[in-house]
Amino acid sequence: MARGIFNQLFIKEIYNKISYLIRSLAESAIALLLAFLVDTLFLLSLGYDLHIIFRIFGTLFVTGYSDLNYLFIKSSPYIATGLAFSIPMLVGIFNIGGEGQLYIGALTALIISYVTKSSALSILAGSLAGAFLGLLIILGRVYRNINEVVSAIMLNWIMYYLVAYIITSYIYDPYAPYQSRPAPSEATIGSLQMFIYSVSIAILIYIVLYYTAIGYRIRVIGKSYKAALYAGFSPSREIIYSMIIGGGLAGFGGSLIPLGIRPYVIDNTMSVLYGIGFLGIGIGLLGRNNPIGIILASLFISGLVIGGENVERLTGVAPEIVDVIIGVVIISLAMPRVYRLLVRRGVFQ
Amino acid sequence: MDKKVIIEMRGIEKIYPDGQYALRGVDLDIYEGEIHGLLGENGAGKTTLMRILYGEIKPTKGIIRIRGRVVRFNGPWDAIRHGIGMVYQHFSLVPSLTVLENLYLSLLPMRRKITSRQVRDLAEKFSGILNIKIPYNDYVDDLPVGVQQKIEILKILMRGAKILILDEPTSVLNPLETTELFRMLKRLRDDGYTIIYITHKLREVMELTDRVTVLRRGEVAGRVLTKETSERELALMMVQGEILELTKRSGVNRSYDKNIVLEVKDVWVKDHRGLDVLKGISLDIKRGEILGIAGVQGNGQVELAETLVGVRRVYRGRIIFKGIDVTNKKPIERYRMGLSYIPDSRSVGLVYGMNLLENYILTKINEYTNKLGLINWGKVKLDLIKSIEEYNIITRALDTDVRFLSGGNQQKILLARELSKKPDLLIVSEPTHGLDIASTNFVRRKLLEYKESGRSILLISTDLDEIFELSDRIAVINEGKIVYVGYPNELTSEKLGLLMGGLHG
Repeated sequence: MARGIFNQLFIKEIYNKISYLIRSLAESAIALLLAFLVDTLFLLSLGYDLHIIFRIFGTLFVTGYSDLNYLFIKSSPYIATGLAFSIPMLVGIFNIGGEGQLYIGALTALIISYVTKSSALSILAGSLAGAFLGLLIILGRVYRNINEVVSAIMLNWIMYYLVAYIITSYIYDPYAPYQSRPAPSEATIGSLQMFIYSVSIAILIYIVLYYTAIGYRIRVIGKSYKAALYAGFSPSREIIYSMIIGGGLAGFGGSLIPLGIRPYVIDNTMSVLYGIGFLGIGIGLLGRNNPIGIILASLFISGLVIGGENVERLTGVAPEIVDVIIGVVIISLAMPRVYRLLVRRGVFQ
Repeated sequence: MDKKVIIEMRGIEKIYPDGQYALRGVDLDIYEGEIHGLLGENGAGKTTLMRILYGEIKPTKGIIRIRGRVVRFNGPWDAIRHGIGMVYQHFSLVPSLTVLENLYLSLLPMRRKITSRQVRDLAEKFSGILNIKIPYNDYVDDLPVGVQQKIEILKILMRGAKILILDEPTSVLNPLETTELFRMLKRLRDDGYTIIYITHKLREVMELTDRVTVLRRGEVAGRVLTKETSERELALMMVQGEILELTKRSGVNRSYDKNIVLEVKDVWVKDHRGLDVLKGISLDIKRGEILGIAGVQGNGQVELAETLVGVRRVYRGRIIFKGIDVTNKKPIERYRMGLSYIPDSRSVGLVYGMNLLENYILTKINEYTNKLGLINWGKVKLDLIKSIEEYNIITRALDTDVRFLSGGNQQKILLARELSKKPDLLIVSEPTHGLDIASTNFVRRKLLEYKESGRSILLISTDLDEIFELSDRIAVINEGKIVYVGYPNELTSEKLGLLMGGLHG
């Protein structure tokens, strides 16, 4: 009897999981088709003919995924900043500070690499620096009710100029003073190594979220604050933890960049860092706040970004137009989720 | 019955987008000037049917005729234009506005240039039939629920409604207010209004209505004249085929061990506005008894439960649980000592958006984690399946979102989770609120069984039948004070009603 019910429920559970997967994939496929349609109309309206439009799509989606090394380098920091957004999001905190946490992580890792010449220690230090920044933001929120979005945006700019200042004033390269000294070769890491680190951390976070008590509490708080209080959890503690983890992840992502991307420096325009933290928000949403989803979303977006670079080079289309094309794709992919949210709020009958 | 048919609903079907059948071809006739009872268990489709009539949702199939003409409603405003009004379980008044402002607000969409003078004049026309002196300048928030309900009805009458739909109106009222409501509804009927009364309470149908339509699982299970039927017959229609197993009244249990499990000594608690909500509560609960706390909703019951659990802070008095002072202990510490709580709102006791497995460990996660903090989901699965069998919980899978379970099954999950911890004291609030007969009986039987095993239960309920059926002792709460403690056989429901209303019977 018990056996029978067990099997029946067990099979149903597997069936549910598979059907969820198929539904998600089908939704994404339809969204992607719609994005193509909108992009085509957009390009047509600008006067491009269909021949060029197909070349743009071809370059964007084919060349983006052919160079694995480049794909790994691009996607690794995205995985980290995607998680940096999603973990706090699970408890209802909007971490827009991933950008600043990424900057400070990159700078700290770079400086520590000069001293220790060890990649592991540098990454650790970078992560801690990011975590510290996250902690700062969330302490203000929990104990002084300071809006985390406002303080995070301000800190993003403070970090931007702080990093630029330190690079050009203290650790500049005497032969190219607009950029920092490169990380020592003993401390640099390869593209595959970078990717393995990021993916392992994402999987670790997945395990923490779904198989440990603290992850469970974090998820409960995000879903129902009242139920969490009833169950005897202390939400502020979990909220603080989530932001320490979030900041730490962004710092981790930042530390990968000067250690893993040639020529292993940060320049005073911050071009290797800029925007990676912000794009993490989109990646977190696209990955549905699920670490495994975030890995996939990072790979997908990185491919588009790389493809976009190639589109510029090979077809001569302006980079702004490529950004619009990619933007439409990302928004379309997020639509099913937005739609479901609206349905839940009762916007449609 | 030589009266005219005013509403005809024919072959109404409703299938929700997720493929769930709410109604499977319902025919309903309402005669002019009658009180028509719409009876059914929870989930039978009563409210869905009426929301279709009120234009709130569209039927998948079927037609509606009002006074012989086919109508098609795009929204409640169309229904209002045809003279239909609906009073919900939860009132649609703005609590922070005065009565006059609320009335004004509800008339504004129909009459743009109305003045507050005109609103008053119009309202006065109905004050006689409602038997109320309208407190125009009082804030709705400060009014008793019974008065709020009258204002809600007044609002609908002022919009010109001739057909009133009431959805379980007595669930928030005490016995005296209920009697008053029934008198008022009868007066309205005698004045030519038509009333559709949604309920799952047999006694109310017998007392109030002229005719009854019984719904069961989205179909009509019977249509009868009230005077030609009986409670027993109606109950059989509602459950049809299912065995009606009424819980036997257990004898007053006076032979319990005299050990006291919980002692509450002169406890005072303030709410978020700084007003006293508990004013010197003193109670004791003995081992192996059910102490029932009766009272009208909103007299401090929720606050009492939350205080005993430790969510609210006590500023005076002491709480002693199993001989240990727990006044300043956190909820989690009290749970560990053997206290358990099932809140009145299932959306607090359960996490909507999480599945059965995840909900099953909400308050007992430490039973399933090892030293590293890893959760043993395999063990959760096995225990959950045992509970599903024992409590006969109907679910499609273990990873179904609890939001999609029926109210009865949600309550059973809560009960299974809390009782499986074998607490020394279970605090349970409104355990059968909104449940159908079968689930209600099941829950009550489980609570009695649990008591028989020698543990104690603090039962907080506004359902007097429930209090009488389960309690070994009864305490009455009114405005944050315990006004009476005694044995069930010393009380009548009339006396209890007076005590709950703040009068000393």
